[in-house]
Amino acid sequence: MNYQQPQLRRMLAAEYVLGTLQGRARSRFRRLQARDPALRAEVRYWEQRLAGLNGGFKPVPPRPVVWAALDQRINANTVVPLHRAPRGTLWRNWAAVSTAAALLLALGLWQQMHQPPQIVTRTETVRVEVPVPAPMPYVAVLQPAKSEAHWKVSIYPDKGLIKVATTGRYAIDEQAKSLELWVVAADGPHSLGLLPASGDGEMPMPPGLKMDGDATLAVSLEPHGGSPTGKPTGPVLLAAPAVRPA
Amino acid sequence: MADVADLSHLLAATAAGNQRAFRELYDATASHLFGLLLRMLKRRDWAEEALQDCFLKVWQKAETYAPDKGAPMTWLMTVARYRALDLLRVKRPEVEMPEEGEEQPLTFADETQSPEDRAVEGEGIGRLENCMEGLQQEQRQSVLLAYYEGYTHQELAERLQAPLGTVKSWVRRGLARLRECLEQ
Repeated sequence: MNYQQPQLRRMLAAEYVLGTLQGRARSRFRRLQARDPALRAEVRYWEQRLAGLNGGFKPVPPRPVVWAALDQRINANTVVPLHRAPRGTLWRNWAAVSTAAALLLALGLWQQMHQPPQIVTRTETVRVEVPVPAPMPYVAVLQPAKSEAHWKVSIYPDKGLIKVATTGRYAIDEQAKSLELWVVAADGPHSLGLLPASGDGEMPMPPGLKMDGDATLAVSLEPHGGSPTGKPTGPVLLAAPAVRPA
Repeated sequence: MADVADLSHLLAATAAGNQRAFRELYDATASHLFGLLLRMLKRRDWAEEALQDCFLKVWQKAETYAPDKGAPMTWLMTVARYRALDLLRVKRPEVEMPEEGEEQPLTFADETQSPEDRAVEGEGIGRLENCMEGLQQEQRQSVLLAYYEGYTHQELAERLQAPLGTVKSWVRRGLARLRECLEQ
């Protein structure tokens, strides 16, 4: 086939992406596009256009064993360079032993994976080592309009703690007014406490307050000592999302 | 689902060898890829094998991802689809296809532009649905079955109970018309 003919190239690229270009023709096309940028661009064109159909695939969570096996394969691979670097036999042996161990483990997981679907009790034989990091805090940077000052607020629901670090000074009459921090939930705002106009500090989270999922924080200007009603009474200076890294 | 910026960031960190970022990338995208693989491969064990292969490739080749390959999710889905197609050809053996040989394939009508001349990524995707609607029913069905089920020409011919040559021309005319429509 004449791979230089433009119309033909375009159709081959389209059928390659669709998948109907098969067998030897497919392998040949793959080799060809590796050294032909124009052909690759043609392939990208179709990849990106047909990706519009990807919404038709319904997400399905894979079993944890897939990650476990993958994790093994990755870590088995990272052992390999140890063979080559040091010359000492001790190192070589260690590398060989650890590679063998990793491969054995990978093989075990592999076999596990290829067994038919199991009832729950059976899956206990796989050790899925997922590191459990300490829960991440919610973090928000609160910057009122028309002010250089801002607050970094970190909320640790697991510790029941709120940390505040102020940059600059927010200009209010602290004898007459207070800044109150709120978390805005589906059922309305809940007070988290008073924000300092300057400086850093910590305060406990109000008892009984739960935070889950995404959160929005807000700051309102209240009479000295905070809102008398438990809900914001003064102007809201800002609202910002609090992000919790996964 | 994580947005484009998050996924790009995770891909970049994965390319740098950050296993934690790789894990996050997996958590954010594996179910989408697995859904695609299950749909195409039909068997869970094959889909799990393909998912592993896919992410192993992502781990090893994350640095080859470039934004011109589309949004990160598009790229990942593309990697998964190609893997599924390869597996299907190995695992779902069929009557050996006659080589295309020197048969004159149907081609696109007018092509003066190169893809680089065209709009940046994103444009056109919204039009895809409309353009699919514009295809003749057999053309649309052939393209969709090939895309979603990974059917070969031969399998399409069996499924649609039509001669091989007819099915091929449905696929090719469908693709050609799709492109004309997307370019408008």
